[in-house]
Amino acid sequence: MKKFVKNKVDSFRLEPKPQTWENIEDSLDKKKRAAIWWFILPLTFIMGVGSAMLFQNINEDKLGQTGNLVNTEVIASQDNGIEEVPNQEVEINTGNKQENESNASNNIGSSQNNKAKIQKAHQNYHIKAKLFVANKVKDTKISNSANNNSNTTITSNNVVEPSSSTVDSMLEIPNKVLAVKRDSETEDTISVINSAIASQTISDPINKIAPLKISITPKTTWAIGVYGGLGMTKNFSKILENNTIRYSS
Amino acid sequence: MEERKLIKGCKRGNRIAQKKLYDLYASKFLGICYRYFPHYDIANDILQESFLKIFKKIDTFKGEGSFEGWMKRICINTALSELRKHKRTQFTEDFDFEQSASFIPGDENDIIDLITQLPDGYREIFNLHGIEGYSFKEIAEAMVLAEGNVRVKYHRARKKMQAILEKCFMEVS
Repeated sequence: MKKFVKNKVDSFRLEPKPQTWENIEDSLDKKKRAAIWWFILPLTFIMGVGSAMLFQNINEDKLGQTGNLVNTEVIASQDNGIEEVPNQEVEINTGNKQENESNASNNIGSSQNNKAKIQKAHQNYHIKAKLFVANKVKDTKISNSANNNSNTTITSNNVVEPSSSTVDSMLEIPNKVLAVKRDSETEDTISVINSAIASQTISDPINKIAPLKISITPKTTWAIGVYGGLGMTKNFSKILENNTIRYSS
Repeated sequence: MEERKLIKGCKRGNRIAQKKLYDLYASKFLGICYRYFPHYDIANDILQESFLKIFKKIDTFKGEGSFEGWMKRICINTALSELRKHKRTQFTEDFDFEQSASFIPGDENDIIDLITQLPDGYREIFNLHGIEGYSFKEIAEAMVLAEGNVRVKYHRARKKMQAILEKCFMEVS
């Protein structure tokens, strides 16, 4: 009985619908197409990332060259007797961000919102910023000669400051604009500031931009730096990181 | 030899080889699908799904054992997973199979008709054990049922099938 049933069942055939094979073919084609996309998409992604990295490396190389020139100038100008502003609340960032920030926060604790101190700090900040620009911007007309101090003036409280003509001449250099960035602010703010700078005829952007943006509140840290004009916010941030004056209220 | 060539072609994704394989086995496998799902359209859908799985997994076939058996297993597993999806393994406890089933001996598809008239659940168990030769344990795992339960259902289905077949053959003779 079992054998009889089994034999009958084994020989049982049914003709499938013609569409069944067509559907199978369609599905196989779809899978093939999908497989091609799975190959193309990662390839495109890898190529995109690769070219972006390459582009970035080229830019970094350019920046590195600029940075060397700037550093050379700073060293040269320091050798030539340009003094640092004796101000506890303003300091030049030499690359160690954390150290500077901790110093700044210590200073904040002691100042206790003293208005006079803040004003003084504000004043010193501008002087320092000018000095910073004077030291950092490449291709300036600053003479680094030790005997020639015509590019700097000594203020009443014995602070060396670049003369206004020096700063002006430096700022005439194309693609060299000054930007101000608060540490906590985003890249968007930078672009806003930059466009503000770009829209003005800037003879002395420190005076125009910095007071506009700085509101002195406790625990506010500002960074000021020179923008190389390469148009990449990431690179801009890096420049700010490496060449900044930090100011804390 | 021919089969080996077909397998090689299918592994390379050769459409002609795939079509040949389909033409060779489609009608047989549709018969299997129909035994589990006695509905022509649904059986065709399961056949389609089975062949897609076969073409997708053909690389995993190492050449050990029968190729037809391997494909048949894929076909049955597809049918079973479809059954699980539709939760069709609910058993009618007191089905009156002898009353409801019709059987005309001599017809080419008489046994198939009789099998397809078995209620859901019983039909699958009868197919799997009585025809495909799956063990009760395997069926229990595939259908997510207790082994004892599967055994009982099978014997009940078999007994009823036997009774109706004997009766009909006696009438004919």
